[in-house]
Amino acid sequence: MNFRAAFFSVGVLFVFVAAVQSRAYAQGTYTQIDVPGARSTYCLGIDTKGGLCRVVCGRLGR
Amino acid sequence: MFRAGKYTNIDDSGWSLTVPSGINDEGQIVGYVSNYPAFSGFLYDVQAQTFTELNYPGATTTFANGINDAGDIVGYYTIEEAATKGFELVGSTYTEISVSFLTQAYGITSVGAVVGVAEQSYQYNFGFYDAKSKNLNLPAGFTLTAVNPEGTVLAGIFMSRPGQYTGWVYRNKKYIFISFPGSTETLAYGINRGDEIVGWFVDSSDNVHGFRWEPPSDASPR
Repeated sequence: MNFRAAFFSVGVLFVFVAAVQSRAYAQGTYTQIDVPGARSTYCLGIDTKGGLCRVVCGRLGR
Repeated sequence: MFRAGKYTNIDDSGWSLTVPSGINDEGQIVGYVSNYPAFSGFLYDVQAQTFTELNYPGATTTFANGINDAGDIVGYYTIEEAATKGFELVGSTYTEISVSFLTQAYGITSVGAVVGVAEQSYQYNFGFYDAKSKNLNLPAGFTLTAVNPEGTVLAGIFMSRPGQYTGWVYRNKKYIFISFPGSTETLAYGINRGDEIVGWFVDSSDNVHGFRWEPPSDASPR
């Protein structure tokens, strides 16, 4: 498998040079996540398994 | 860890700071822990509830940032505050990823392609596969933080001016911006196979919250 095929099967790698034509904001659903008792919550990872995703988050303060 | 409205604590009691950075579909979580000033990476297995500390050989600090479903881990390490270099951990073998003086690996696809951030005289985003690296040439102000398992969708942070951040996702050959409603700043840090994004945002009272973004159900296939 070559670099391009391994990396971005739809050729994403080579279209980044395209400028951002306009600032389009995402539609879709936003959900707020707050770790109970934490002053701040930082979410960094999400899986896909089983339809009910697991989200991993760090926190500051208790 | 948050799932279906329930929170599970994955802190390892021996550390003052535990930050999970990535999770794969096998329930393996990577991140880093610290008792300042030392930092170590970790691997936590949800099913087995085992916590394994990860330290690049000879490194002063190690950060684990991403893991694919095969269990391959990427991150970066420093030695004596000298250069910062990326690494890939496959099984028990560490391999250095050195794209420039400062190299940080953030994500890895199912086939082992790595993405990250490098800095020489300027910062840029790179792809790394089969010992070859490439500047991804993202637009100015774009920092790449995540890649989906297929390597077809990217996410990250756009800095419009110093200290002002908006999340972004690149899918269907278009950039769209991720901004939690009512937020003053939004940062995107994780992505899964369904193109869902997680990160955090700052509200109008300067409080920081996590978020999850799901693409619209009628989104065209990528």
